[in-house]
Amino acid sequence: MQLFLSSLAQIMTPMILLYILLGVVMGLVFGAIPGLTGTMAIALCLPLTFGMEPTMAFALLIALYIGGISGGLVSAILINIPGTPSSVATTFDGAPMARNGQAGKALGAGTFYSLVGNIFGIAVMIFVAPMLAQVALKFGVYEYTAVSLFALSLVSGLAGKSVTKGLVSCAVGMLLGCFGAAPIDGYARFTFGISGLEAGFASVPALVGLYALKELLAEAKPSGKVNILDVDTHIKGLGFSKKEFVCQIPNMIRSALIGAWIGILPGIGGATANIMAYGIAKKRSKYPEKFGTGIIDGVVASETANNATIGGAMIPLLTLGIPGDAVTAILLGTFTIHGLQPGPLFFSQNYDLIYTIFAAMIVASVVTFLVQLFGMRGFIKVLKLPKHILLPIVIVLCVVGSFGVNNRLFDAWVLIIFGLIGYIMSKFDYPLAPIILGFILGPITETYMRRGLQLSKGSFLPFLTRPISGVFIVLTVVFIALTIISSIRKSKRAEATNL
Amino acid sequence: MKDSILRLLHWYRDALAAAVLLLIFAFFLSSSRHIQVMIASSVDAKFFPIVICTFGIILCAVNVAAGVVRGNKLRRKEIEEAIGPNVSPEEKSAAIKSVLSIVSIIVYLVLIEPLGFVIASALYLFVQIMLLSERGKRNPILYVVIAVVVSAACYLFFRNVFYLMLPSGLLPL
Repeated sequence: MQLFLSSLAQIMTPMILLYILLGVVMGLVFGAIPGLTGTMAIALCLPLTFGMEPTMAFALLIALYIGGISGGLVSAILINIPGTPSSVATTFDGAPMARNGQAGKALGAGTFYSLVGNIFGIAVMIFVAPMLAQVALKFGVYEYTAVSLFALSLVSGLAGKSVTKGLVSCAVGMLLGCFGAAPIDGYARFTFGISGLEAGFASVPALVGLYALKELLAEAKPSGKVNILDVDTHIKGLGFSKKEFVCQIPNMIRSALIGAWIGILPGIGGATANIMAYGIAKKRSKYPEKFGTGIIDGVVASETANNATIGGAMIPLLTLGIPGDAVTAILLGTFTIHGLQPGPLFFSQNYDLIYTIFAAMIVASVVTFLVQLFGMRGFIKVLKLPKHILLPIVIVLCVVGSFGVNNRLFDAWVLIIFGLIGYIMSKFDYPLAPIILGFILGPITETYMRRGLQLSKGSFLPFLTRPISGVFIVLTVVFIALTIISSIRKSKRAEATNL
Repeated sequence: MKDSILRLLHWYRDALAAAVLLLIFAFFLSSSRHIQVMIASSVDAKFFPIVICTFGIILCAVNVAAGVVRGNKLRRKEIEEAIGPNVSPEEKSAAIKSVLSIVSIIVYLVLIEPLGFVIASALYLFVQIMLLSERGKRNPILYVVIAVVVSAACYLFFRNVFYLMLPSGLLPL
């Protein structure tokens, strides 16, 4: 507790608070505008953190992360388009509430329960992460290989409508991760005589490219004009009554638990958590028929769950060094840039930085809440910004950000190459999230697997015979089998309905 | 002739995409075998790419088969219901805009070094904003101002605050 309080005091400097405020505002703006995401904001700001102290760098990036997830609710409620995939379920009841003249109430509830979700997720992280780090200290290369494989299986199975397409995306990402020097022995792979490829593709331009270019090209499509509801968005108090707050307590706790748990599982994240929490809230409700007509319950479930994933997602990153989604993958890159290697050892040796990250997350959550509550009118105006002007500027910033990684134009080309890969694959319904996770987790898995095989002199048996590793390998196989079975059932059901 | 090719592409687009990916994995599988290693062992630098490519080829083969089945069904259904290939003028114009956007970004990257960041970015921003804006509602003067101001501000900010050596090119900056 004392450590936490001293970390809190450490970040209460004007400079760090300013960075947190800037991060929160930028995250909220990116989160609010459909098509721009918090992930993109983080990737754009990453080069700016190269010269900063780690504390300052993480404060900025974490503020962007929290702001980015929370910002999605504004457009979800006012234009019925989720600002980020994490706010899809907020549109189900938030938009009808706005149409029924309760926009202020929906925005107020969304803002407050985002804060609740954030704080709950962070609390789970503060309690669970040290315990998991203790367990993870006993992990060897076999266990890490098994956990990485398990993470890969979760990603591919849950990322899209088709399991095989999800798995192909994952394989594409892993193949892209193989370019450049091989781990352990450093032999060059797939460099084709291009010197820029000797170190492989840098992760920042790759991640930014996958998302940014797709959005720019999507803007070329004919789409209906965005109509922002002309309603009273003034939030009185928090927008809802004490009685409503008491009634929502079970929904809030359940959704927070769902969000934190889903956040811990690699590869799933807020995009699934909000829909799952909404579905369960509807199932458990005494009045499920009212869901979708504009009741506060839907907004509470979605916004609590998606924000609770943030704390959850940080757990595998900090304790195992394994990122669970695109944002934590970028944060892993930030650790590496600052010469740090997250994992159980790092966790037990760098309490100062870890607790500073915890404190920064709490401060950023509170700042997000306050900025949203008092600056809602500004974010509503942001929705009116013309995307045909905004997106080209984002592309130029992406080029600058990519150039800044290594001060060379080659990385800007990587941005375009990955952008084209992402655009073409999404055109044919191949999900993008598995490409990213495959790209990030592939080299991690390969490194651990090859180290393990070196130790076992080429035998795969220890991966199965060691208890923790064996359990994860079995879980991986079971999960893939279950996903395939459920997908076959789903397609048969769809066929039967078509007939 | 053109119509029938378009129809085939429409019906079998999934199978075709999977076949292209299969070829890409096959190419990398063959390249993996030529990775130079000093000491050959069962788990060397070739091992992981070979596993991934083999895995990718199997999955793509499954997707090709699934795509053909789906395409056959769609084909039967559309022939029965006499649905022709239907591409709206808006979709055609969007496709052209997408291709032109990609070309303009590629040209932008090619020009950054010879022209410099400010000129290349300003040109790109102007062309891209014009491409994305609706015909009839375009405001070229405003777009020129935005393009020049944003490029110059970006250059000065990143060069002076973050010491990023963005190419200066033709301008004596």
